[in-house]
Amino acid sequence: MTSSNKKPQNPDDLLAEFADRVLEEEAAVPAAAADPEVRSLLATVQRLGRVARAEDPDQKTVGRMQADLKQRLSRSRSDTGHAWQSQQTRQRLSLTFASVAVFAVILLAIPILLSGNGGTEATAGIQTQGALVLVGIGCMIAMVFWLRRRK
Amino acid sequence: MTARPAASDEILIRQFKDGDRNAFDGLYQRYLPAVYRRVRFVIPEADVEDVTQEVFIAAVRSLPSFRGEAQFGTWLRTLTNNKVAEYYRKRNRKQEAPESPLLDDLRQPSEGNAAKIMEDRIILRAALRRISQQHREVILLRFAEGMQFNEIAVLMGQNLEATKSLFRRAIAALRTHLDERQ
Repeated sequence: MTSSNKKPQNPDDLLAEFADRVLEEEAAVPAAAADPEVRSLLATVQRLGRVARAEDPDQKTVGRMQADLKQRLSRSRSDTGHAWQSQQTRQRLSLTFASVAVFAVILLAIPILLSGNGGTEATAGIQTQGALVLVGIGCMIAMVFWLRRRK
Repeated sequence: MTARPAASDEILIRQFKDGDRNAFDGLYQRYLPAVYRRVRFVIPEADVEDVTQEVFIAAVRSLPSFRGEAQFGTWLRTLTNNKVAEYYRKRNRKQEAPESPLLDDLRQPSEGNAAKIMEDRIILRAALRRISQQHREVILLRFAEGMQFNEIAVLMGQNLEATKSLFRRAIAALRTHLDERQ
């Protein structure tokens, strides 16, 4: 069988085969491709192949990048640790503050509430004060819940 | 990203999940070249290493939740594409000129053939960003990751002929954008 009897290669196959070749080594655009459109596509593949062959990182780069990655990972781990610790401290401080505030309001409220319940001389003013203290306690409790939810 | 030998990724992933941090070294060494090449095809030279490292940092962080539904290489490819997209999102947010990747690259010293390759890389990168995601993917799978056409066909769920045809259309699209630049 002579080459003139050969069925012309499908452009898809021609391009795919040429891509395989240029990835192995520098290769010229095959002379068999007479169609200018196909030749121009082959030239693009040739260009891609030339760039692709030069893309691999060398051993030195691989080693340096691996060391750098380990460093970055340990830094990010310790940063996460610090952030977690400071968040814990903030949580503890705000909870302590809220508890102290509630405790203080209760301490202040007890004598007023007791005097309000005790005598017939209880006035409307004292009752109002008691109600205000209760509202204050309610607000404090709401604040504690709100602080806890924020975390 | 093609898993090379059968020295299994699954075992390394399991060891990593069990607390053996060094198990990730094996995965890193195995996949670094493919990730690096893919990134280098689409990211300016000055930022290639940084973006590559970000891919692996993201992998370390997400690996505990990796359930193995996809192959590790496929999962890593998705992470890489996400990081590349994030890189360009950040870059666009900073409103840098679209041609600035060229300037970044031209700051790198190069001579002779290396200069020619560098120039080609810059021009190809700009053109690759302009073609469709599917066209870009088939080119990257073949040229950046070195996958064979039959492997690409399996990955894309197509037959070999359809994959080769897609490759030809991708090259034609790329050529159009290369012509525009010249």
